[in-house]
Amino acid sequence: MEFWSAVAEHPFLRLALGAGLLASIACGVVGTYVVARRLSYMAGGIAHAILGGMGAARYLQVVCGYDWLTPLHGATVAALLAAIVIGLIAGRCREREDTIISAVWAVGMASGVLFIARTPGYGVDLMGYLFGNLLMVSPADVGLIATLDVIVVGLSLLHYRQLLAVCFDEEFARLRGLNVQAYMMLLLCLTALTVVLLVTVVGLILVIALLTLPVATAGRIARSLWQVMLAGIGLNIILVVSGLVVGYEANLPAGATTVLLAGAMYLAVTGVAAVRHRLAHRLVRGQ
Amino acid sequence: MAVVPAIRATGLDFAYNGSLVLREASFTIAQGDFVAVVGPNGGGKTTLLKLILGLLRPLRGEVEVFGRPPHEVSRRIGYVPQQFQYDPRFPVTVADVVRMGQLGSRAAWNAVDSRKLVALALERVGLTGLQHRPFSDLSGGQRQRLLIARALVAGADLLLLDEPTANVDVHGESDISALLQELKETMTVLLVTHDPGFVSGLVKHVLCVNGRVSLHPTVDLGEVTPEVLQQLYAAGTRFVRHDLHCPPGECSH
Repeated sequence: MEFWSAVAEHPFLRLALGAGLLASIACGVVGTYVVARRLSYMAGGIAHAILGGMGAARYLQVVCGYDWLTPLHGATVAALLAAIVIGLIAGRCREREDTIISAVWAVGMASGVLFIARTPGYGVDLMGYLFGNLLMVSPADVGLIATLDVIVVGLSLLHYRQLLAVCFDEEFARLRGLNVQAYMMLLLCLTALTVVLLVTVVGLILVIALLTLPVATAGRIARSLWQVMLAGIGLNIILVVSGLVVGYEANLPAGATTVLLAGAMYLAVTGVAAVRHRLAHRLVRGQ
Repeated sequence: MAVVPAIRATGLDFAYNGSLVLREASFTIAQGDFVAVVGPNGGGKTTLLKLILGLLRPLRGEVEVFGRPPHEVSRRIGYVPQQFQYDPRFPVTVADVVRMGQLGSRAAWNAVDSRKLVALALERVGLTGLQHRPFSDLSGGQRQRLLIARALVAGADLLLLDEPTANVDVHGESDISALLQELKETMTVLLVTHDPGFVSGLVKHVLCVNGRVSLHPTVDLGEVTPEVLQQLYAAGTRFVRHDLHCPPGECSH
């Protein structure tokens, strides 16, 4: 295939592949918690809020001359800030969770649009942030992605039993002496960092698809949380590599291609499961 | 030396958003007792359980479990919530659920001990061999017994159950009743239920909760008159006595 010989030839493709594979690992682990605890809307809010951070970082880089600052740095700060704000307000105030998430979502995007409007040459950047551009990943970006990956996967596995208990039954976890609010905050921060990793791959609008669809598919075949994590990592790797290959060969955007493949896989597996369930039901009724 | 009661509540008041749910609740439950907590919906049964568990703090008064504040003896308290509050599709195995009961205990750090205790707890509730089965595959009755195993695995002396037979079929109900019969020999049991009939042979006391709380022995029913029940439920009640044997044909009412 042309893609693999191009990978051997062009360093930027190797960087794209490396970033995609690294993001897949964190995505499989944290996506499992997000789907199991039904935090998808929260992750969506964080993902959209980081446009503010990316825009601010780009503005400071271009207009104020902070050359060391990249949009990925801004995204990391904004994602953690959004997670902390959502976690604190949801945990301590009697405010509806969906209202807080919507507010963070909209305010983050609006401030991002304002910063980008004030930054020269914003058009190309905006598309890259919204829909991702793996082919523009720099070696420094891969370094940051690898660092975030180690943090996310390390903390998720270190606190596996506690996070499992908090996700399954908050009340019982509290009875067993766990600081449930602290673990929920940890989970939100891990989700925020994973969203940052994925923004490079598929962009902030499509993050939710890659965070949830492969894991939801894995949930159809796995029995326990750690099995879903392993299967989710595997499916994410397959999808990211397939998205890059198909995108390169057919000259299509890799991020959107990856998400469409994830959607098709999820629909196919869900459809097969529904047909099998109906057949089994008919068999039982026929006996 | 006097034996410390399992639960002692003194003058408990509790309110949600300024609305008083429990008023001056005072009662004592001895160790080894088997108590059915009954009362109408919204009467404060689950609130009372959560006060005993230390999940809620009373507005006034205090509750002691084995002579200590609840949060200091949480390891000695096993809690079985209503099973339908769980997401049945959550990807978790039977063993994972039981292991949650060991959080914070020493067994959690030793894989061999942990496995042994999980197997023992499952054997005790009649779910041996189902360790690797997904939670979603279990029936309502099996899920309830699994939650009892999770409550027991850390060595509880007091078991609190919140409507354990809700959404459970007749077979499941009789399995849970048999299990409770066995457990009452070794621990204090407090059971919230709308249907005390399924454990009528086991219950030593009935705790009636409807804003106010009153504890009545099931042997001496003198205090639980139809008037008391009418006052508690504010509706028509049927008075079933399990301490009398009525030969067939002789009981018309």
